[in-house]
Amino acid sequence: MAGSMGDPVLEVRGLSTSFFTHDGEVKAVRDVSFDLAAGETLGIVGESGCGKSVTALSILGLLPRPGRVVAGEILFKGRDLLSIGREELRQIRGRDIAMIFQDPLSSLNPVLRVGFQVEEAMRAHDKVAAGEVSPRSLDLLQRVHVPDASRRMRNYPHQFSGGMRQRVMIAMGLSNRPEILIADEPTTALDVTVQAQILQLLRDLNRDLGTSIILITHNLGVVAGLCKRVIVMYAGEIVEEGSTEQIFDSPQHPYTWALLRSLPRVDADRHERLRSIEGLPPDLISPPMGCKFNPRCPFRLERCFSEDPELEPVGDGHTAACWVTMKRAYAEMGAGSLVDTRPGAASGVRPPMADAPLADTGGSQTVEPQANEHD
Amino acid sequence: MAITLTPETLEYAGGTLAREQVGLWRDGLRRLRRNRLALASAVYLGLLACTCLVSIFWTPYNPNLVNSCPTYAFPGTPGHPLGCDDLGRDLLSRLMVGSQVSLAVGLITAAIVMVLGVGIGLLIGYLRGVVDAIFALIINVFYGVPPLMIAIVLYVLLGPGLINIIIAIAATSWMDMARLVRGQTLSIREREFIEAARAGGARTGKILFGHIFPNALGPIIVQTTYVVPAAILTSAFFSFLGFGVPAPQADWGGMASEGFSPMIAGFDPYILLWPAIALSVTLLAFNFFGDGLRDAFDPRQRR
Repeated sequence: MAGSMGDPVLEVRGLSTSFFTHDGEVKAVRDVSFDLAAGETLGIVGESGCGKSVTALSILGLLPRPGRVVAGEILFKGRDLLSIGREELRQIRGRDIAMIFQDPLSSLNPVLRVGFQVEEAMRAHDKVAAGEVSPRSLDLLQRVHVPDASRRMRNYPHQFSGGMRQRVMIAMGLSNRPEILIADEPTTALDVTVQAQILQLLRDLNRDLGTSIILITHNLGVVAGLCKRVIVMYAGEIVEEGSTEQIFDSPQHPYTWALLRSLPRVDADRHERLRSIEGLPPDLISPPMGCKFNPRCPFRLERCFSEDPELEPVGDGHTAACWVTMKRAYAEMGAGSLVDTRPGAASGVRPPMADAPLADTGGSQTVEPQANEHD
Repeated sequence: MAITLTPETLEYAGGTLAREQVGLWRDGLRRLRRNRLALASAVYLGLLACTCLVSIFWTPYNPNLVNSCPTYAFPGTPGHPLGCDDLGRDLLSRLMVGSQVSLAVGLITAAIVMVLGVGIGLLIGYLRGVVDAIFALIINVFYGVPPLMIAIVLYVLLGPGLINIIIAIAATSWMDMARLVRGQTLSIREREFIEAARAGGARTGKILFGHIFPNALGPIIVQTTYVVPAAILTSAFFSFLGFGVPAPQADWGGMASEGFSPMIAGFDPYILLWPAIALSVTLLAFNFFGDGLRDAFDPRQRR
């Protein structure tokens, strides 16, 4: 089933999704493009509200009202998911593209038995023969390492622990042998040891079944453990894309750099403090002019306030949307030894409106990117 | 695995774990059993159902046979423990047969209300928007229609009959159920397992009846147990006014009506008393049972 690496199963081209609220159009996702190869593991990272989940929901056509895809195309094996009919899209959901959610506690129907729910996932499609449904559900639960699966199938979700429920969700997601599994914060609600088990499970399934995985998370550590390629999103846009090594070893966008600095590392000096990113992600109804990260960027230039940078190659298969890039920040602004990460601190560039105090750009607030998000 | 968890080892493991393994329904039923009032009501309703079934095939006397005993015979007359009415019909037999009408009206109406209310409630709660607004209007209109008016209109158009009563009551009592289910649907549809089901490719019908309905079942059952006594009371009221089942078919409301003049005249208060008692106790039992069900299945009351 696993196709050769390289031919994309999913191509997202210029995807823009907006929520039309009473306050105005919230541009949650803007001009996002990426490919997903067969058998590939792709991570999408970023803070809360930067468009990761909306991107995933746009792919599956599950946007809540008043959200709408306003531009772009989503090609699944060459078919545009945005232009096919509702019934066709329903058939693709769960059969070809499956999704698992953040909170396994609330993703299972509390009044239905677990085994029944796994079987239901198969009965929604004709991919698995009717006679095969029941034995396969047992097989799936064993495959995701639910102990004593034949007895546990008859239990209700509240009799399962969080990690076990997420295993059940993964079993349901895999039940129709999908080509793509979208995991939206699959480990966020779980404790760290269980997180590691779930990631190991996803890794094994990707290797054994060749299922492509899109992992959506705000936790870079999770991405490093599973994904080969990483997309960093900020304020609804892709700001950097590259292999996991490139992103972790030489991040080129200041946002990626700041995210990595906020991650605890075992190899760091013991006295080194974790750096949070100053400020909050921008208001998506009226985002800042130019680069969306400029109100929080220590390396910003005058140009960042007026011109929006495009994704430019910064290495082999590595792109970043930044006028500065960290290469220059290290060389010219002393990013390696930077302590003061307030906006404009390294470059000395203040906003063009001289009367605007620094605090207005979000300088007085700090946000822990690691904090749990509630989408 | 060396240790296999059998039910025996679970019980051995102690109360907490064993309790944890009990399903939602069994847990609720156990709480219901602990509620004495509800239990007594359930026993009474069971006996009533048996009486009703028996009366279809056998009654001590033909309930409609005039002069089967002396008119106005008092309770305790040999062979007629509840006495006889003004036409000399055995009151016990009539009371037994009367339960048929009450239970039929109560249960059939409740079934219709459940189907209508649940169907409409699920639909408008799920679709929201324009459909919801239209049905909100329709529901308000129906709240304004008195059931007696429909009963009279149907009486005039179709003549007296049980079906008319059921239609009249069902048509004016589905709205509470629809509103309840609509509210439940509105809240359940926002829960994550609905989104997860949709992401798994579930059809709309499956989401409505396979996911939302089972989650709303507790309140729906409780509401249904309140519809039954209300329907019985209303139908007795119709019969009392003379719009009920045609004579000589016995039903509690009609019996109470027949007993009214003899009581005023001072002949025999029991003709009115027996159906009144039967009606009151039955209504009380349904209400206690409904309360017991609510306490047993409402998670907020869980102790």
